[in-house]
Amino acid sequence: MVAHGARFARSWAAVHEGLNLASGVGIVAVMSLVLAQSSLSSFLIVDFAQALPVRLLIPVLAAFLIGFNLLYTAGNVASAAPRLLRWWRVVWLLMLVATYAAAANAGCLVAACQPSLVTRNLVLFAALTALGSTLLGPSLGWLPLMLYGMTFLFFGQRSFGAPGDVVRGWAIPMQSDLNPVAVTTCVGIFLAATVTYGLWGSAEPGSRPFSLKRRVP
Amino acid sequence: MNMLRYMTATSFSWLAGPIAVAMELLNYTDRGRPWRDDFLWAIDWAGTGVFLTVPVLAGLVAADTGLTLTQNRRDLTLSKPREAVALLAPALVGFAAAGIVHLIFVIPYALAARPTSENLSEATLMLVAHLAVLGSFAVLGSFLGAAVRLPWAPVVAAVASPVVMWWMGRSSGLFSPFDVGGSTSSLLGLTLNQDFVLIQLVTLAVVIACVLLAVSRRWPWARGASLKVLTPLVALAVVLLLLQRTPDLERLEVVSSAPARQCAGSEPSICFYPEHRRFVAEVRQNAQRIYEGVPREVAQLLPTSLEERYPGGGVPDAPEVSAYEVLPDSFSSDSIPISDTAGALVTPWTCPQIFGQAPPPEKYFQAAQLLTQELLAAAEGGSNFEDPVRVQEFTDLFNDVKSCRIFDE
Repeated sequence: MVAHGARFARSWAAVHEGLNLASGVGIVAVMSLVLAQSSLSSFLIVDFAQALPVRLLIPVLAAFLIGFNLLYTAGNVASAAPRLLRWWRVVWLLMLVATYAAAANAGCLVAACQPSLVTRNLVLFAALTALGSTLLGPSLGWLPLMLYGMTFLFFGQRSFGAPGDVVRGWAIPMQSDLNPVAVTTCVGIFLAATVTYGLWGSAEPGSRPFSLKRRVP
Repeated sequence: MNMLRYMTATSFSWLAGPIAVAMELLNYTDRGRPWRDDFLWAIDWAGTGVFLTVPVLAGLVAADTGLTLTQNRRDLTLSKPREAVALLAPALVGFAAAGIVHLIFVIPYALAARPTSENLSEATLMLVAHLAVLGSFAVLGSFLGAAVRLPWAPVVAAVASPVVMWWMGRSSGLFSPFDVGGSTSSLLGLTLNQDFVLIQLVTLAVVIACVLLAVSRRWPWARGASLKVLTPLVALAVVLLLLQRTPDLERLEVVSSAPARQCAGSEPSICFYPEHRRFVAEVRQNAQRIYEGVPREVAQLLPTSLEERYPGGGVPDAPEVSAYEVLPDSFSSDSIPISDTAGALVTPWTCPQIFGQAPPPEKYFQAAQLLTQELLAAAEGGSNFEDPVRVQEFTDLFNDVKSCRIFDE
């Protein structure tokens, strides 16, 4: 077990995804700050006068970048400590989400946004990305996030009112309060996605959609 | 046969079809279908379905094209004579799937919106523009799939598409070649600018031709995103940007002559546009309750006719005629509160102050609210009009409002 742990640690340190992670964190942090201070008035039905850019667009961007980092799964770990591969995937996903959440929250230092809302949305979007990566493969891993994102952006409101006034129950990222049901739903989906990704990893590049048979180790 | 096998066994651009069905269905049922009976608005509203489908279509085509260039698929598909066809097949299949779904969904829109011969040609042009935009983003996905490495290509395509649609697809005073409509308010009083659509279609045709040309070249060129491929595309982007600055090229323009209303009933008569005929019965019922609830001397003050007005449209110049605006929430709920009707009856439509840049004075709002409440109370049977003094007070205030004296300092 100790030998496994040592090899695991060495593999972790040697993982080349560190570069992707660092660049992604930089992008998210900078975009957080830029959008937090932006003077854009509106985008479609989204009112930028609210704290929505940081709460919405930054988590989406972070989730896309998390998706890319998930694709480069642990070739080193697979060869050095194959028994720990599943745990490695789980830890890797959790670490990505924690790191990107910290970067995304940087915007809240200068904008009137709630870190808890940014984190809630990021957790949900990251879960969708992880599920997409597992079920659909790297080429289509973005699809669930894009579909859900567009759907709640256009249909998340019940009326013609200003965003945030009357929001449909399923449009969790539009909600401006920390509804316990919404938070529980996000965490539940994230746990399910973490387990799914931990067990199976990303689908093989080039495999057909919905195919769980062939996996990259 | 190989191509058929390829399309059914390996390619997945056709997924744009089922996904478009979901998006179109959501769009069709969204917000209680406020566009019903208004054909032009219905087709414009359908444009949101294009907006929603475009990122998915571009992303799927990019992924499919990218995978076509991978080694295992090349063996299957990229035999020399058919190389260009195989490269462009994902775009064609994705466009066909999404386009057919969009056209099929126009049928229920048309059934619910009762098309007329006057606006059939405008709606047809709108649909052609919708298809052209879908085609543009299909070939854009194809280009990105050939030029950018997997797995970045589909994400770049999926993220870039809504950005481009937002940037070059909104009527904000600039020429927007990717404008597909999606209005959330009625288009009454507006008409499609045919010059705009013609320039839009020519622009999109050039875009599609340039990108097709770039993609259909030998794939290593595209994969390396060489200067030979990028130069015309950059030039195209510059032309689009310059074109976007063309002034006075709006997608919708104001109609030269106001559309005709249809009137029903008397005392008061309710005159609405045919597109909004579903509200006539409720407005008439509301008005009857108010007119029957007030004493004769008050009823004589009230307008004898209610004529629908769209935002920006003209107002009646006779004091005995009142304008009537259907508020956005009513289109969704299909219900017009009696307070809206009472409010329209007391609004001084002939006073320019209510349309000015500066908001009317507070005392006007207080007076209008008081008059509205009196009318509502009378309609509910709890009127204070038994007292002749209240009748006189109401009459004086009503005349002050209607004669615009309320706006005097």
